[in-house]
Amino acid sequence: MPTTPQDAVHAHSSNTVRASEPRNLPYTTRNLRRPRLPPHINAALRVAAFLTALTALLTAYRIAPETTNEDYYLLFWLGFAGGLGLLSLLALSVSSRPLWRTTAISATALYTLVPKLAMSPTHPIYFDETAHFEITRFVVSTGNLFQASPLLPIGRDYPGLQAVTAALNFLSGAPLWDCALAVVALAHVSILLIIYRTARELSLSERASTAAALSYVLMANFVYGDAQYSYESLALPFLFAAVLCFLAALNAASHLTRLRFSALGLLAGTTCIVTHHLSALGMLLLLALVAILYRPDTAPACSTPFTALLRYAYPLLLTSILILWIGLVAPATVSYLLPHLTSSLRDLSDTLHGLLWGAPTPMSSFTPSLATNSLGLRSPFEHSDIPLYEHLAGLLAPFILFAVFITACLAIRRSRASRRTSAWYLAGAALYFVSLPLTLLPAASTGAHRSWATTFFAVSLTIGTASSATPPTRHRHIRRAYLSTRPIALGFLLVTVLMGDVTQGTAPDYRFPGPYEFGSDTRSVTAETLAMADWVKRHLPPPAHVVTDRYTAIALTNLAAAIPAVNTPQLQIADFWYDAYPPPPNLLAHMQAAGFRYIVIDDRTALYAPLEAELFYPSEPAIVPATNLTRLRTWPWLHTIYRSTHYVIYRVSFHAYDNWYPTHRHPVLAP
Amino acid sequence: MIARSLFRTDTRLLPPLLALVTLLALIVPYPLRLLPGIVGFLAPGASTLAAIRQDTRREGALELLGLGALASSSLYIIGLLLLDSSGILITRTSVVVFAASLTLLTSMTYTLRLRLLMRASAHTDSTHD
Repeated sequence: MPTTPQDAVHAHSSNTVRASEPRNLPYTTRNLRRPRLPPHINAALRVAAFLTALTALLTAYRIAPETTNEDYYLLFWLGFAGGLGLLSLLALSVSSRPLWRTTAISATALYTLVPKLAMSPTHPIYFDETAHFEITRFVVSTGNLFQASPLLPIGRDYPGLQAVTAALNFLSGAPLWDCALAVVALAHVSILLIIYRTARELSLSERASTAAALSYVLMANFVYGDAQYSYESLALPFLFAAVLCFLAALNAASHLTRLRFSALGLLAGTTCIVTHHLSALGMLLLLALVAILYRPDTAPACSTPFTALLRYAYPLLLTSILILWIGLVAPATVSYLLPHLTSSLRDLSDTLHGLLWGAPTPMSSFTPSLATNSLGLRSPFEHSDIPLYEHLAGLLAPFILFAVFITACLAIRRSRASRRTSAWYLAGAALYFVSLPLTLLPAASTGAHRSWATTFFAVSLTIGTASSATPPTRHRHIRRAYLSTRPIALGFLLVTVLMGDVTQGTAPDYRFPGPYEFGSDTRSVTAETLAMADWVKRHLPPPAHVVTDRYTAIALTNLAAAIPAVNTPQLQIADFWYDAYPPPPNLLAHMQAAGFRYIVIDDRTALYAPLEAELFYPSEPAIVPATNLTRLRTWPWLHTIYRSTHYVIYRVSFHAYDNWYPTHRHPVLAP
Repeated sequence: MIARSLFRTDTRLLPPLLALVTLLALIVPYPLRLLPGIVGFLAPGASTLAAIRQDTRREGALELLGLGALASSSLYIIGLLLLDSSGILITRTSVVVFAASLTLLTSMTYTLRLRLLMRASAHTDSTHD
């Protein structure tokens, strides 16, 4: 939202602003005359190429479930990178008007949603979106916010996503899942448009701002993770909007404009706080960087005592709101986030100890299923059957991004004014690079991944700055060669980064449908599961309260609107699977009080270890003892009401249990 | 000058008018009401942003809509939190009433802006005369 005065203020001050503008015309690729097609044929060819790319992308998803080789990976990249490339060229074209640029940016954001939509067009399939959609169903049916899902208890305290989806549902009358997808699509588009606006606010040129916006697509979670129906997907645009409004308020030429942007930014920031905890923390981090490091050479009208007050009051006010929200409404946030933080620090300390003293040390057992080496470090892609080129791209991507970061640093080093306006996002980008090695630590890996959504905002602005950097030499021929090969080289490098980051950010089963895999959130539903869920929907009183493992719980929540129990210290349902002793009376009493009358068993839990996450709790035994499942058939207080090849559903008779338990409290020994 | 001001003001009046049309379109059955429903969802935010900005036409329409979506979301989230904390059930009726209030508020803001702009324009013209 640059206004005329601030444009005037910054026009002289940034060497990143006009690098690709007509000033450099003698050296730009535009000036390298080549034979050109008539415009209408050119446009028709581009449309045909785009449709071909889209078809390739959709074909990859159509053939993935039946194809055993890696052909669909190649088709995916041809379609995905091809489509994004065409839209990016349109956005970055020298002749594009601002409306075309923003249209192309919006279309790019929508195109990045295609893979996720191809995965779950009719209902949620990922774990997080299953939980969030369940909460939304509860909000719509009860008419109250702050509903809890057993799958994600912390979701109760952050009702922003559910509120906006319910409002859209009530206003439009559209099906709830369509409203959920519409909210995600609006948020996805808004993210890129806000980055574009932020870059313009920082006086980057239109093309550099477009490059900054488009480069956020390279963020590891943008294509799948943040396209899911989850609170982070909606909180991110609020986060970035709060930063944008803060910058606009600091740059504003009049008190009224400053007040307006401050009010809008505080509204966006508050909404971010009530929508997602980690995004709120990320927002405070970015605001702190802006407050400390953003020092534009402003006109005297902009340098008032009020601006000086605003610089610190704005982040402090939002910090106070976050503290109040956590203290009064969401105290569980502390106990939810603290174990992640402490285990990450413990892993870091253990690793440093191992590196310094040369002895492997025991790692925390927070994520035991991840492959680690003798130092306790994770080995990237070790158990992943991705193609070799994705593997290589995943390893190269951080180095390419780091080279871009260095280029941006070199580009601004000569101008004091540029350093003063760019330092905050270069510092944010540096935090991104610091977080990369942390992904090798088992416990810190998740936290590092989650921080990228915030820090990559700064990386995007860095890429925008680097994209308009002038060639590193004054020699005419070298400059000419540099400018003529730059699009191809940049295209190749960016496709490599895109491929690498998508590979890093998302497991193969979250990216493509495929044959049945036990312990996969997305691939554990079979025809047998559908039949079982259909039976539950038709025969059990809704909503069916069931005790079952994580993967059956996801299927029953999505397909039968069931309410699964979650393993907690008060309700240790995992005892049915892992404990050799019969379940104790206090467990049954809690089940009865909470209405959990049905137990759903998948006998494959005794055959296979889960692929992704644990069945019930971290550090659980790898395999369920088979005798613990077979014994259930002999207990008279469990009545079999449904049986298929792998699934059994029992109804619990609490009265029969009370009579039975006193004489059967001993364990069943394995033969 | 007057015609120019009116044109600019008309542009600003568009989002609240769209919102009013959308609220009327609620009687249209699904799937016809999906699109106007979304536009109605965007309208209050887009209007708020247009009110904040001095000149809507200088900014990209898509950016305005994208940011408007966020502003709308903010208003709905904060509004529904207030409804919830007041013990009011979040139902179709309460949300539609809430949306209508937002639309009315932004429309009134624009009406006020229209009068101010007209007055300023008349003053400028008389000065030039």
